[in-house]
Amino acid sequence: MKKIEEVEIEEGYIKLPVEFIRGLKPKTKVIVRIDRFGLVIKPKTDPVEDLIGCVKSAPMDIEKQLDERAEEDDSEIY
Amino acid sequence: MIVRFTDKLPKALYLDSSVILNATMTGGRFHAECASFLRRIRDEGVRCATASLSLDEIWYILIKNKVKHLTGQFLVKSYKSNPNSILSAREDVERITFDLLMMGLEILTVDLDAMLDAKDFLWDCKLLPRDSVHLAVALKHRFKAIATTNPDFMSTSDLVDVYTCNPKMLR
Repeated sequence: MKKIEEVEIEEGYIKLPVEFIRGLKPKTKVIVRIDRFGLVIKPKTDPVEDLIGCVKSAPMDIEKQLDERAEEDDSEIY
Repeated sequence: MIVRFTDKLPKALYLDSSVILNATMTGGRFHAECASFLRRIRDEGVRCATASLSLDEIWYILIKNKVKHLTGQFLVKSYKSNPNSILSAREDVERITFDLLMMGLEILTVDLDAMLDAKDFLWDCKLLPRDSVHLAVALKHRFKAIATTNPDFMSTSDLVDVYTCNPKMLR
């Protein structure tokens, strides 16, 4: 989705660029939140489905990585 | 008690970061099992929480693996020569943090009381520091069940029900 750098507020409404709205499919529900980077608008999706498998990775032992994170990194430096 | 992911779920469950990371990363050994488990939690409306410490663990693994994938180097070495290297993981970290909050996961504060309890669990349960913090926060907030794929939590099964899919723990 196109990133908007600035938006205007007009009579209590936030004015978004037409190109941004056109980038959303009709009847798309959106989630709006304010974080430290500003106003964030995202199409509404099931967060659990969005989360599952969203990072494509090589086979890995997550339990080992959590246990040994500092040792593995330190061994490369010292 | 050690309990299977497929067994009856409790009303409230503490999620260890290992379950979230396995569900998120396709290469996780228990990806399929943890993905199914999160869907089940959602479908059955189980109240879920984790310590703020989990976000640290999740962010770290996401950044570490992204940097390793892109540079072939371990995170700290890459970071020392180029701090910008961590920016490659920004999209994943932002997306996953937002998803966790949107799915209603409660993020519990790690306060001094929890840390002092955690110190005792180091010795009582022979846990590593981060695992003892997870246990302390879970118990402080009266969770009677923890979901994890980390076998080190087996020593806590007298204090909480430990939900898992890790065959090492289910033997």
